[in-house]
Amino acid sequence: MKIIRITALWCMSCLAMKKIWKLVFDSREDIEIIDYDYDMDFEKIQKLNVGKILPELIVYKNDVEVLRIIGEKSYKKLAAIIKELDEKN
Amino acid sequence: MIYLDYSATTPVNPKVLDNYLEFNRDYFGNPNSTHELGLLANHQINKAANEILNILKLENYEVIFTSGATEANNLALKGFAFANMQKGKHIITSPYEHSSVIACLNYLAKFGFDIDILPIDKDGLIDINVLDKTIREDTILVSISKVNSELGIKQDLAKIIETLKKHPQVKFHSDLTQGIGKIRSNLEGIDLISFTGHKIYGLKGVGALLRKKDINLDPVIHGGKSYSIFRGGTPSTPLINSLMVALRYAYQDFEVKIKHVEELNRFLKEALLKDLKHVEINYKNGIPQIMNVSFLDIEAQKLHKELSKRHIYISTQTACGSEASFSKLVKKITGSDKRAETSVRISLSHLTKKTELITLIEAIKEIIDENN
Repeated sequence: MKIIRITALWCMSCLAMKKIWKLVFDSREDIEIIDYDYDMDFEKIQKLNVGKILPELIVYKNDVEVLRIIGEKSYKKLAAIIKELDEKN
Repeated sequence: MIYLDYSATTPVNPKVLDNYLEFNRDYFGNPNSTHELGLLANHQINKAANEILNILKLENYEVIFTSGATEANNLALKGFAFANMQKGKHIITSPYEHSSVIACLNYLAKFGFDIDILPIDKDGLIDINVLDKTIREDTILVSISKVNSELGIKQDLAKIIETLKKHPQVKFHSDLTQGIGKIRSNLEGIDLISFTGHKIYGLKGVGALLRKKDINLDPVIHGGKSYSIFRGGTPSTPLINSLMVALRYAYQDFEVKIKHVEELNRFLKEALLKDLKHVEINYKNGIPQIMNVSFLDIEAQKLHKELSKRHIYISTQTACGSEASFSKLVKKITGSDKRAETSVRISLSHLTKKTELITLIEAIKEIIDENN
């Protein structure tokens, strides 16, 4: 699984999600995370058709986009989303 | 033009501007120079700094002049964090800080700092008990603004200071950009205080960080020996003096100004609820200068745009990186998506006239009618 994670320095939700991402993703060596900054990587982001709310996580499986996770999510919710994606394997 | 966006910025007090021009003529010497003209400029900066501390009733603080509140927040957060990281890397904040605070904290997280965001109750206030329980051995800083810019929520800083007394290793920063000049508050006990000139009828391009003298910082802007060891660069004597003059005028006839704004706030609230349908006041206990209202029949951005066409200026809260309106804070306080999508901020001043508010209400009524 590969995730493109789009955040911005000025985004409070992105700050709030940091701890939750750590809990969910730190032990998952099989998930590759690529970080894009909304301002610094704007050209790359434009091509991804990023929406109105940050953070935005674009999830790929075998290089095919399968899901977008948008905005703040609780640990429980994010863990459940990732578990569901795992089970679809 | 009807300007009702005083929380974004304020028009310059003509007396501040006159003083600024006068100082550009009379004190153009480099305050870092050691000749008479330089010393004269330096003396004026000292006088301005002392007067600022005197107005704010602060003793044992240094005034570090900056380009504004954003730089002051950067110096407070990054400067403090990097200078004190050997003591710990845990920082606590609130969920509605200014983007310059959030950006610094996101930046610090890249260097391994652990940031905790406190929950707020239904009135938007942080729970002091939760703050107390969130403090750890490696907590070095708490950063909570006194006044929230969107809803005007006032935090009880005295309670925060009281709690932090139990944890002397933890220092307290407060962004008072929306508080200075609008409220009177005892600031003793806050270790680092940020504010800016352009929110108090001063000039853009100058602000300050007030540093309690025992607080150590790493400079963010490095340079040669200057007025403060914590901020390099040639200080702008005219801008610095203008900040002091703006502050002095902000607190002149303060009670009269506040009374006028309170009356305007009351009038606006009553008139909106009486004259328009489907109106919700989103927060009732904030500072009188800020009123956050939801007009449920029209999307905030649309109303903002239509009012702007009529030369009436208010503001909206935009979601992260978007043009669509959605206030996370209004959602948090009211629990309503609809109110979050339709909320606007009307910010008042002692300069605001009742007739302007009457015109505003009529314009809103017209716009809503046209859209339905």
